[in-house]
Amino acid sequence: MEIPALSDEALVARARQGNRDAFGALVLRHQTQAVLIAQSILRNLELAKDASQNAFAKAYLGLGRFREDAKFKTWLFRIVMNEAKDVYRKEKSRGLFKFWSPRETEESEEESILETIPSSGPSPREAFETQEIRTRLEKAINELPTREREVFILRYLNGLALSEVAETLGIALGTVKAHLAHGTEKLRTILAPEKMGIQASSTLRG
Amino acid sequence: MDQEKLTPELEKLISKVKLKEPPREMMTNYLSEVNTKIDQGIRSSHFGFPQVTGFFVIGLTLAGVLYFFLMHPAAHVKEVSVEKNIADRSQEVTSPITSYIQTSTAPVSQKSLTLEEEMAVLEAFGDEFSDESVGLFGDDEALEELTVLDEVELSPGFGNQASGV
Repeated sequence: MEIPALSDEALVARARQGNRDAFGALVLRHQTQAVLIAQSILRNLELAKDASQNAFAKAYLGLGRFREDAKFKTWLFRIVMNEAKDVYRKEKSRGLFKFWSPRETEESEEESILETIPSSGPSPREAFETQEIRTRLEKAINELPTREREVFILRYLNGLALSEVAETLGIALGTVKAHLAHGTEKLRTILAPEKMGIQASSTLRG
Repeated sequence: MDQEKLTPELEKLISKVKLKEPPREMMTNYLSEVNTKIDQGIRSSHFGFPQVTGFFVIGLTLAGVLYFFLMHPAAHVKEVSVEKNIADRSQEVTSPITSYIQTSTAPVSQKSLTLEEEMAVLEAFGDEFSDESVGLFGDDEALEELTVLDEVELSPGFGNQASGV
């Protein structure tokens, strides 16, 4: 069987024996999602790429500690999140030593984590409205408490199953569900039509 | 479970957006860079919180050590002979008391001793000095007189004569 066709478990078993090609296949399989997760925390693609690469390297060097009954994907994403949070803290503390306003720097370096899904032949008005929705949704997600934001992004934007979200964050399934419920309720309030303006509300009404 | 069900409005909003994917050109060398990091054992070049804390602690320790050896008040206390101090004050008093004191030294500050301190030092020497002698300490004329009287008492004849008077 060719390496790329193997399951994560089989690739991990080979990588544990020092097979770098097997680990390379794991990297290629999960690299995009790893960058996306890091990007949702760091809001900077370059930093997200670097943090996710560090996470892969740490995962390889720590394969001995990986429990075989766990999922490699969620174990890896947990490392990615920790690494991204670590980088975020370092960047934040570096900002404190800068002479210019940290807020200004933060705003200029922060990138959008969302993009609109292109639909076939949207009118300029539709394109504008979708863009507006993206901005408001992103702003609303940013207003959520950290844990609720993480759960929401992993579940609805990264497309992880609830159990995978729980494993990635190292919390109970019930806690994930509670965070999701609170998070979506808050989003609904923040994105209420009266707060969203005419264009977005018309989209909401369909 | 109902809790994970999104409202239709929110579902519609989310269906129009996705997480921003990294550009393709950014991901071309991704794997080779991961392999490089593995080979290097991920030596972080960040100057982060642990490094800052480390430097701060080392700096504080060095400052403390410098203060202890150079600036601490105890560094100014020298061991000064009591004899020298007393001699300075009483201008070479020649008495058994002084000669006894000459043999002893004690750590004191450079500041001259007060009468109470001198008394305390003398008391530390024991009962060899009478209260009378100690009371006269510092009075040069009285001490000289006392010394002369001591010498006189050493000759028995003189003592008898004196008692006979």
